[in-house]
Amino acid sequence: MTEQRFAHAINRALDDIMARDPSVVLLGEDIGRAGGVFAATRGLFQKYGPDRVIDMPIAENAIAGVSVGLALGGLRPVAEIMFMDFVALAMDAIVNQAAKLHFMFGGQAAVPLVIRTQHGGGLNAGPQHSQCLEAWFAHIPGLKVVCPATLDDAYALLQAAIEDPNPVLFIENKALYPMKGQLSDTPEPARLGQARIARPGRDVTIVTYGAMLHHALAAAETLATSGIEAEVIDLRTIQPWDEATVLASLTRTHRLVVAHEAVEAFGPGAEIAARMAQVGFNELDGPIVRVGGAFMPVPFSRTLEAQYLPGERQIIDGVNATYG
Amino acid sequence: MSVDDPARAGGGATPPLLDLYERMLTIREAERACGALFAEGAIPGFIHLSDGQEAVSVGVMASLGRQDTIASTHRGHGHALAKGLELHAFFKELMGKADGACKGRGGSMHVADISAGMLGANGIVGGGIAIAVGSALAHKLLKRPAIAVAFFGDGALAEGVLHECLNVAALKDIPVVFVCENNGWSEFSPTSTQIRFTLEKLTAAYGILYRRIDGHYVTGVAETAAEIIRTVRDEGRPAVLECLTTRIRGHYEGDSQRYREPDPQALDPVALALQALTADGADAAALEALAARVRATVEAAVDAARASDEPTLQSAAEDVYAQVSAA
Amino acid sequence: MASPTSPAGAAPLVMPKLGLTMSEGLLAAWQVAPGDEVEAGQVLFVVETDKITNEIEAPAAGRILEVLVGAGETVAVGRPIALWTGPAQGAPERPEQGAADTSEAPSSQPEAEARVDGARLLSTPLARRLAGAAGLALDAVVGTGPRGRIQSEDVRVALEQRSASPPRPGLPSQGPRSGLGPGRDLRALIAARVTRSKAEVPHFYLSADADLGALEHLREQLNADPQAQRRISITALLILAAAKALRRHPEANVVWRDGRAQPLDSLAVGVAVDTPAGVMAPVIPVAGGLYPVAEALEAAAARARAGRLGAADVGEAALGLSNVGMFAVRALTPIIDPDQTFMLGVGAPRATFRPNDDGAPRLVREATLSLACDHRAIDGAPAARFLAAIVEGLEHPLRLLV
Repeated sequence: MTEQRFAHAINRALDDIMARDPSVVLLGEDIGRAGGVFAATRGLFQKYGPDRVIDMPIAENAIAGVSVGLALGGLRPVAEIMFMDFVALAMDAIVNQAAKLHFMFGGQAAVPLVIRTQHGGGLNAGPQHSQCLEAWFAHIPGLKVVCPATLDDAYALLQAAIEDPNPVLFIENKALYPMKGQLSDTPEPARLGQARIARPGRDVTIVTYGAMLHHALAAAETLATSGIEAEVIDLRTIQPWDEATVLASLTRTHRLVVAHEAVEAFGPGAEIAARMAQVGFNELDGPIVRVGGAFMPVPFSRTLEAQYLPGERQIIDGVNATYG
Repeated sequence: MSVDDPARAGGGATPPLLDLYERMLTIREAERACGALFAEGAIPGFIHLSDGQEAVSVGVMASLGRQDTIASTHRGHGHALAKGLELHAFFKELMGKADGACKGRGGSMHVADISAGMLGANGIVGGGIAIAVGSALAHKLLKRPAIAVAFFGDGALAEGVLHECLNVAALKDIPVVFVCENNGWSEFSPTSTQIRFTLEKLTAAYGILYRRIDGHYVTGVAETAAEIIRTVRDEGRPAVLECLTTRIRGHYEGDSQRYREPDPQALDPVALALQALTADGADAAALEALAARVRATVEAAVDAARASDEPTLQSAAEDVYAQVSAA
Repeated sequence: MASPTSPAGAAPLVMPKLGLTMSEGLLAAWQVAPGDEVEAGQVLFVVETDKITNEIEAPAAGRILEVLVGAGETVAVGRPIALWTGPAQGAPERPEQGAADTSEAPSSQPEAEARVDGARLLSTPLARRLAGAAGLALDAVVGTGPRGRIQSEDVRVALEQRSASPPRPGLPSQGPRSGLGPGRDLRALIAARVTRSKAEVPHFYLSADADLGALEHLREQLNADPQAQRRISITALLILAAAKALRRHPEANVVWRDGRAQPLDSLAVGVAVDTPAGVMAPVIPVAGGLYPVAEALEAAAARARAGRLGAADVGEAALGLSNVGMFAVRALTPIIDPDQTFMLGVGAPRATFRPNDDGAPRLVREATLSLACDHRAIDGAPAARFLAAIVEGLEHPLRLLV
């Protein structure tokens, strides 16, 4: 167990899997010689060479499309789209090609590719470099969507995503990169689609993922001082999500808050809330409340962005709202 | 019946014209059957028939082996059949049957045979180009002697991804052949109204090897394609092959082509090949018998497809995700 | 007349609910005393739970009248702990960090709102499920959520109360389906109910003696008639007299709910029925004349004795009646049913001499009527007028027949 930064957990995960699986190749903009703009791929080019760490020009559609071809050809490509905002340029390759080929070709081939991308605000990067677009991909049958919140999860889930035969969006919150945490020497392998109860509680369930987990845990501490014990669930995988764990929690607490940084309207929380309202209807002792970003582009100004980003305060308000 | 010759992997002499003619005729008869099936309602959705472009499919595929890979377009029946997709699996897929090539999930625009190196027809204009580039890159990285071919029409010349892929292929020395079937039409508009450049100039800008040929003469296509493909294999760099062809039928079946003047000079590669064979002294009766055999083969495949079962939604649901296997 | 320590306009202060799971609190200290004038925001008392110590502030201005729970005592959430002149407590201010919502004082604001909302009961799915499983009708539950929404906690409280109280208005589930049979601990229900009445209802008492001679004579005549459909009891006549008095004095036909005296729009009288298991008090609607009332009384009494009181027996009434005249008891100083405003105790008639208008002794059959009154709903003078009207009805029984 050592203290590391979140970005290092990504780096180690890639390094370790590339060492044992020669079919894993990386591609993206500035990931090779420059080590990646967020330093997630630092040192890998030097270690594995240009045939496994492939610098690509600024051509997101080609990067994603070439990854599909590589995956069909027997490799396990891990493509980086530098900011999640830029996936918009790669949508055909991801949505129309990668997500569909296994199904559309009647199961003849799988597309085992991973697209690593960075979402989230908090760096005053402005509206085109701060979006959380995971809902787009969670909505596409054939894609999987993963978003880790801790170092051990970043490590284990990235490897699990790479080993998955399906196309996976692996989403890292850029604000978490400098976060320090414990990384186990041999982290437990993780399974996609399995949530983790980060904090048990009996009064309200808070479902979250990614950076928001840390705000949810802080909110839970504060709520505890008023006698409200919140159960915090880290989804870890958004598609497919661990419905069973959330429902089991709801049957214990009877109140549900879903919190994420992504815009609240039509966000991943909407699916979780609707699903729980349906299958968990008789468990509810109050309305299901979502906490998410306001319906506006992420603003640039320091004061604006600070007000925009949902955090501990908004989660506490959300819990209060489940009491009516 | 497969029109692909497994012995052909990696080069060799151009197949005899009779062979090439039989392969083209098979495609032509299959497309004719598709037109009829579509008109009678047995094929749902859209179909885009490739009459007039058979020489390109057959001519290029003559230099490819099973290990080589191709990505195709929405007008991909000829590519698929020439690359090795079986006629039975082909018709069953177009009719949406459970034992079609893609279990009825894809249809005309998505026919595929991965085992034969056919990485799918594609419903997105230009959607297959990057896939072919990636496939070729995989061959290179895994040190396989295979190459990839990206088929596209002149209608894709305006798509950004083509430009991205030409650039990447040149930058990374990727062994991919970009084959443009230039029939002068981008859907309902003449391509001259769609682009301000020629493919030749574009290719030169990227520093890529370029050849242009008349796509109506299958022998010429086969020879030129053989040359280009040999270069790509040997030198491990991309190339562009522009084939001038004629799209005999409309953009899709049902397209009345009101936007198009009938062209009495239109060249038909199948007819041209037949003429050449006849001029070379081929026996008319033998040619007739061959044609009858091809028609019978196609009809048998159609009949088998009609008799097949419809797929179930449950079976489709099982293939949304690939299962994690102990591979 | 009125109790010396129960002035007009008393409302309860209750033990507040300070956390979702808080069910009782220790009243650690009083910061005010009876007679003190307090301002909004002034600390009244200190509550300790296993989690927190909280100073409870006055929600409005008022004067402390009476302290019901002393320092050092532990009481359940929602129980009245003092009387004051400020507003009756329903929902205290919820602490910012989202502690659970309101207390569940039975006559608090949300109950009215639940009915105002188009008579639709708001309830959470969980609450409905819990109530359904326990056979508890939702209209028997006081909702403390927003807009009077019934939440699971409210159902739990209602279930506890149900197991602790005898049939009360709005509990049709305590009818034939789950009737009070010999197996139920009626004693415990009665105990809880009268305790609550004594704790919550500020009683004052009026007494009057009524000459029942004419009443008894009328009854004998009615019962002696060979064509009589049934025998008439004194109780039936008492019911009629009370109902007529209520009709003449609408200000008495009220019940205390949500901080005000709410008029009832029908006439009914609760009657204490002695059963082997304990006293039960079906409510007899007064409609039609003497015979219908007598019939209803007879049927209800039979049901009560069989332990089969049902939905028909739990209507609202302003007044309850306890006639102990059949025993050699001079007077009964009764306890008001906490859902009613009056309890009339009627003692045994006795022969005595009273001076007539000329001062000469006259033999009368005199019974003592003791009227316990809820001072929140009615003051001494109107209550006295009301009692006098009952007496008048009894002393002029022919008027009861018209």
